[in-house]
Amino acid sequence: MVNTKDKISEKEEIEKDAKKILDNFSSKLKNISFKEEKIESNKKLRNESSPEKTQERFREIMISNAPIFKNNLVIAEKGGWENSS
Amino acid sequence: MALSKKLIDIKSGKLTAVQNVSNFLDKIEKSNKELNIYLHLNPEALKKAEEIDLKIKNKKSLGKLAGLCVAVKSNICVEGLITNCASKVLEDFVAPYDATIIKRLKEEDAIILGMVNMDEFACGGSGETSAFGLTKNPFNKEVIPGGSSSGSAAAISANLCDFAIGSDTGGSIRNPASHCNVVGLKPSYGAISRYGLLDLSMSLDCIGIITKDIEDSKLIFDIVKGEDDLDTTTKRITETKLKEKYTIGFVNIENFATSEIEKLVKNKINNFAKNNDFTIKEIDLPLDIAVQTYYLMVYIEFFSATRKYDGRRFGKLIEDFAGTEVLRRILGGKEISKAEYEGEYYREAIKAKEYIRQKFEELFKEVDLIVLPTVPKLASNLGEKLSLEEVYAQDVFTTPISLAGIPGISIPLDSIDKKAIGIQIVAPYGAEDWIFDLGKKLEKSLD
Repeated sequence: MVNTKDKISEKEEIEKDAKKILDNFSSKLKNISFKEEKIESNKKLRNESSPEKTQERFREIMISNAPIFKNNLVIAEKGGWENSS
Repeated sequence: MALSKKLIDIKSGKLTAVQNVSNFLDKIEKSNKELNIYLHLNPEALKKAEEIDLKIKNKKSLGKLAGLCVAVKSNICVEGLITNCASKVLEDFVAPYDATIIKRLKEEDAIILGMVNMDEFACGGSGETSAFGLTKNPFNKEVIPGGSSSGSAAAISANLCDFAIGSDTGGSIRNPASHCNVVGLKPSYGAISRYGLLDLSMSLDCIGIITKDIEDSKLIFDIVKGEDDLDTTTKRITETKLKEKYTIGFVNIENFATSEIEKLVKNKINNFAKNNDFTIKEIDLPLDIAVQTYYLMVYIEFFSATRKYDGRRFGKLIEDFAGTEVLRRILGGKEISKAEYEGEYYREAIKAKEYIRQKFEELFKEVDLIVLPTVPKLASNLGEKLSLEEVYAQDVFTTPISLAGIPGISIPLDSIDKKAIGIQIVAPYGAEDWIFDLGKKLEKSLD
């Protein structure tokens, strides 16, 4: 079993690698020069349509997906799934 | 068999929808243990087929895809089916609604056969990072199938469905299509609704189609494309008038592809253009910044997208259960999203994205279509260790198209040492019809 200390150092290592590669990528983009265009977004507005009715099974399925469901409520506790079976 | 022909057979009763589903289920039963393509089958598939056969018997109106079987990538919601992004984080997550594309397919009487494997959360290009085991490449079982839509491409390659759908953010349909020797379409950004797609990078994500050939791809695309109020990025793609002769831009890929791929693709395209009297122009793309721009955007947008996987309402906490590549993108994205780095990463990437889009716009004043290989090197062997830079460099020919928001398709071109090589055809925004037209001609010339 991996202990918490190992897990944290593994995550730190992954984060360090990611930052290194992202810094390298970012440095390649510094010298791009081009003409920035403004977008006239009001030309692309749409009329609001009436929202779809929630499907009947939506609630039923989301309840079954929830780690803990009590008294008609999803109990959204951090790590709640650890105690559910 | 072309899907248009199969549709006629089903409508005429020569082949029943039940037989079609049963044939696929039998094949899946025999081969899935080895290939690991389907993660979950739809228990309602045969029932749906019976309903379609009854409609045919009673001469009731039928959908345009009546009786055809579709495999769905496991990041596209199908109501009542497990949609887990091939991750332990969402291992038992049941989708509570249908994605718009699924709704449209169901309305046309297509049958959802099941959910297929993929790289975890679409973060990968090899097909090896699924939490439920890698997918084998039916074209050559020793090499990677490509990814992230590995199961979708492999399902077509192994004849385990009529067509498949997947998602493509920086090449996730075209790359596995190339490695599995099938046709993979990434449409124009917004051509197909992404409502119901578990997102990787909202600025780039597209849902696309994987088929045996171009004709099938066009058939499905014409049905599933279109505006959707539930995805405000969608746009109506109208028909594009076809041309007698196209001017084709061939991308200078020196220093980006292996010489064997460069030579083969160049020869094939030159011969094809000569035989069809098409003009070829050599062009340059900003290939040196595409992968860099793409990953900066993806890391940040993916970090943002994953904040809903907190393990409170469904699934498990992503940071505790995801694989290394998913974790890398979350932790990297979190780091460079910090206020202290404002303008340093994401802003630069957005600027570069716009620069690339403008470059394509300029190029399309000189040429009608652009061709280049789908991947820069032959498929790696399963389990082969590559550096992170080498892994990301696989996307060099697919990411520029994604960043420009334009359509691209990968078509089987040839193979070297039984490793498939795909060619990409790229068109201006909304000109999918040109892609299909040139693609059909290319397919014919390769027959």
